[in-house]
Amino acid sequence: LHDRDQQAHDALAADMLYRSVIGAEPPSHPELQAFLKGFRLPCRNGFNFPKVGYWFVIVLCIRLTVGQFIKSLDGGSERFLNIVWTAHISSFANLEPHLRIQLAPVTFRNQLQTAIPDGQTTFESLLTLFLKGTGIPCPRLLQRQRLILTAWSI
Amino acid sequence: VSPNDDESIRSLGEGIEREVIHTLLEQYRQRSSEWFTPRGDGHSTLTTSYPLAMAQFVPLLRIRNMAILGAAVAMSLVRGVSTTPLDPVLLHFFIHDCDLHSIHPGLLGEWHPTLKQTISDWVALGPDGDANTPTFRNFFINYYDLQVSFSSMTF
Repeated sequence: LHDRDQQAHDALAADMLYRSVIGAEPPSHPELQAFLKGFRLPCRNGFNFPKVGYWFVIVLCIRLTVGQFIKSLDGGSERFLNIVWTAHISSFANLEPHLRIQLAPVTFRNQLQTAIPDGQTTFESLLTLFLKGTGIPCPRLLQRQRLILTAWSI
Repeated sequence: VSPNDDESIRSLGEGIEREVIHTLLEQYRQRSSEWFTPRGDGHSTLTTSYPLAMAQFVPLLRIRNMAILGAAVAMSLVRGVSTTPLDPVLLHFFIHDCDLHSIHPGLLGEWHPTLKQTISDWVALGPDGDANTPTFRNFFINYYDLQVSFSSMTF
């Protein structure tokens, strides 16, 4: 990388960015074009996804939390992606600080104790156990259902 | 969702929709190396399986599944669900019609602090600076074919 002039030096900076984020191929590559075609979610009325950038931020705010993220409307896709990635739950630890499980009515608690008389099982412990778990809770039951459902794969 | 033609089972609703998108993306994640290429800072880009020179030979199935992946990613984002391992900066680039200028230093710094530093250092180095430092050497080994970059790339 000798004999660079200012223009080549700047061009290489842009190329370094491109290669390390997007890759070795240009956006015109058919595989990237195919992804983009799907990503734009083309609709019959010509409405497509990236153009509704601000709209889906609004949707997100309404769906997830209160007006806490309203400011994010100014942030465009930067803020949107930030919120979405931050909201990603990778383990129970992400969820735990936000959990508030209310006590079930006494009647239900008594019924649970009768059903599982081990003196430890509560609705709270069951729910926590479920949330801590990974994979399929009842594989055999699911397998039975799977036979009914049509299997499909890519 | 109605898996049987006789419509004996019918489920509708947001939960089903989310689950379908999730399951679809999981199928791609399970065969990660076919679809995602790891890049810096724990993020991935899309895998291209054929070089550009062979563009016309990319199998239709590959093109179709790539388009399905694109649609699944968009639908997941609309639902407010992240699409790891794909790089948020890559998605930002796609949302901005593949405009490299849309990746400004602030955004890059947020997701790729190391890369941002490397590029800032490169810009600061200037055309007369010595590019033969360990950081730049490592960078070019990782992202460029070093042989190409140091011998036949002439600037």
